[in-house]
Amino acid sequence: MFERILYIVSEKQEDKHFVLELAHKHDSTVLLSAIMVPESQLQVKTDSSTRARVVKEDQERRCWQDIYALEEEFKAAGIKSSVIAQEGSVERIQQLASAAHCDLIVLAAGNLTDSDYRLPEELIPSLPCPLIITNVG
Amino acid sequence: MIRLANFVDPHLAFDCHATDQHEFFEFVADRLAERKLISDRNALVSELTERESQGSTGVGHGIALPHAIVGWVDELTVVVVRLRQPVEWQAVDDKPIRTAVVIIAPAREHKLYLQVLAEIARSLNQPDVRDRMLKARDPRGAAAIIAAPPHEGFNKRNRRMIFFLVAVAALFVLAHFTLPSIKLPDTGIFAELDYVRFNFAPWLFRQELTVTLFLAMILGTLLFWRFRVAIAAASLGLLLVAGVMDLDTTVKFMSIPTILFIMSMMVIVRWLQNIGVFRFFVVKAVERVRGIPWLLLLILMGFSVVLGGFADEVSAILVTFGLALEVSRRTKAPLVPFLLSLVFATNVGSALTLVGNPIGIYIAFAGKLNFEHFLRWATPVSAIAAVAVAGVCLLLYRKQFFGVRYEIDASELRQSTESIDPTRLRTGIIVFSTTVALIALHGRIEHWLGLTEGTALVAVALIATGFIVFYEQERGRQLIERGIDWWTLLFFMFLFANAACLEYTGVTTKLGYSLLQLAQHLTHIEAGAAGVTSTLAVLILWFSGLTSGFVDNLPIVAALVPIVKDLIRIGLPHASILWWALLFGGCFGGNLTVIGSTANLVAIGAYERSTGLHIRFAEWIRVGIVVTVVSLVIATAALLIQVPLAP
Repeated sequence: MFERILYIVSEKQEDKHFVLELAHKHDSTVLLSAIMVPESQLQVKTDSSTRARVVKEDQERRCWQDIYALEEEFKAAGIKSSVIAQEGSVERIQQLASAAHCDLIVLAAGNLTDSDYRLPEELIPSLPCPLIITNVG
Repeated sequence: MIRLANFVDPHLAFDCHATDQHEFFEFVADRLAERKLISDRNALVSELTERESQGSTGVGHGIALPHAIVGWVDELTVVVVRLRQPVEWQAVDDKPIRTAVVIIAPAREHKLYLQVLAEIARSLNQPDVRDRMLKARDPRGAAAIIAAPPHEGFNKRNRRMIFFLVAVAALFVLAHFTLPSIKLPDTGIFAELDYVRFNFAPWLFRQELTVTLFLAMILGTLLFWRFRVAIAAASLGLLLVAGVMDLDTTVKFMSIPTILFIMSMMVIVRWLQNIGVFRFFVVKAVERVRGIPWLLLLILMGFSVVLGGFADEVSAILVTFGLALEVSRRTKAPLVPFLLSLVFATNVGSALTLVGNPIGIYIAFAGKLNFEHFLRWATPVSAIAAVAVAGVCLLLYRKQFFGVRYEIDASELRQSTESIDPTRLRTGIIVFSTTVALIALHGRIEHWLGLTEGTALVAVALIATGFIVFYEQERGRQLIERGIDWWTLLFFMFLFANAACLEYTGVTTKLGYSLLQLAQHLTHIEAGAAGVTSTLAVLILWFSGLTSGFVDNLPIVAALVPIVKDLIRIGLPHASILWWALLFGGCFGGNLTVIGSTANLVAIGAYERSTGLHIRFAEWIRVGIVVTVVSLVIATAALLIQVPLAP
């Protein structure tokens, strides 16, 4: 049913077991991605381009390591998985999901904490496939 | 942090003419076998092929990172390859591959393998790195681009901290030599108020410490914005430890009534936003513009001004710019003119009433001013400035707003308000209008009930908050926890206490006295005392206006408030006009740069999140400077005309 699942990896990865089970059940390929805040947006928050660049580099480094570690874990569990690069915020998952022809998006509620609370409502009608927002305690 | 230069060997960088994935893997295996880095080329080819079957290693943007942990290599090996013709890779974005970096490592290097893989992925995710690699003269040059050391974040961070510490030391030295040289007169009102003590120890040391810590706090928030609460808290702690203030005085200086009022307003506004009250009215108005761009802009700007004045600037910009985003998404209307115009209108509108901006609330409590004072002194000037700003925006963006028409489907816009619950909407409208009406009458209520200034103002906001939390039942808790920006409130409390300490130690008395002397020097003798007040009003307006563009406006206003208080205390005629100079400077100056006010940052964030595009500093300031100068000129004229009327 879900050939391609786009999994937006959160920092805590609290929902990875859910995605693993789902992928097993549907024999899906999991596309792993993360939301990386653009430098200019960080610049707004940090007031300086140098500081924004440093923060962004640290964030990217962590993101990529987490994603590749997770990819190894998925493969060890026999799940087909790929990594996909993306920069931006939650709204950009629409473009990502369309470009990657995904059938399902899994997004941790933790990813939405930085966004305006209305975003998911506005986002959902424009998505090319269903979205599951996980809130694993 | 690892250095890629230690792992990317320029001798393992190649240009490859492979036409498919298998040919590519064979090419890489052959190169490694030639250099005796692997013993079995076929094993590597099958390992990489097998790895690829478990999921494509194409990460998008024409990049592939084939990687594997293999048992038969001795050390981590990185091979950089440019493909002379794009190769199909089944990448997630369907784009063929132009650059591939192969990473293989033994199992014992698993952690390092992940670090190198992540660092290479991070490096290749940058468009300029990809472009430079493809354009590099030879493969070694391409490898060098990947291996180039990343920005040394640690050093840069340290450099900033060193600059901060040196600047703080320099500020202390400057304060040490400057403050003792400012002598307050030991006659007249200064003697009566016992201000002469500020000329001697121990007040001099206290002044030096207080002024250094306050300026360090402003500099610190500029350099380390994310840590502004930590900086303000540390500054306050140092003042306590140094014995400059005691705990009771510190708590008194935190201006708890101001904090309570801002907190309650945050709950009220967030609740109205959740219900969709603001959105409902804005959508109703936009439906009626019939796709006329300039009319749409004017209506949205009008709402920005009113919401900025009666709710708060952040809600105003979220609602109006949110709608502009939707319109732009459907009509392809240019977004930047909307963004800038709406932000300008919000900032100018936030001076409309007492509740629009924390600056206004702080000034109201400090100056014992009520809502009616604001209606008399601030609303007309803010309204005129808003009209002028709208005119400037229409003039500057005339090409985008005249001679075109947008196809706006009213039913689509209406859809976004269909989820609004009519009962809650009605309750929201009633609560909001009652609250605003009672806030507007708080001065009279206090007079009737014999309460001290500001009591009814805080009480009305608290009662409204209580009602809302009760009405929302379970959601009420969420509203308190998430609707209130606790971080900002804490910063305000620490900031207010730090700023009040300037007054307590006599720093602002000395600065006020120096400012008074400067104003007397600049004023023609025939203009008299009222002329000095006029000069002071202009100085305060433009100083706060221009600095608010570059530094958070609240610290500037918080530092100037005690000066104005002192100037009023020493009996300067018509000195209450200075409160309005401060208000207009703080609010209008926020339009100057992208970091001038919270509304600017919120709007920019929303713009970048939804479009992925950025606004350059210069792009903003080009328009911002015109709008700021026009609104400050209007405020200057209004203040100068009204000086004789001010109490």
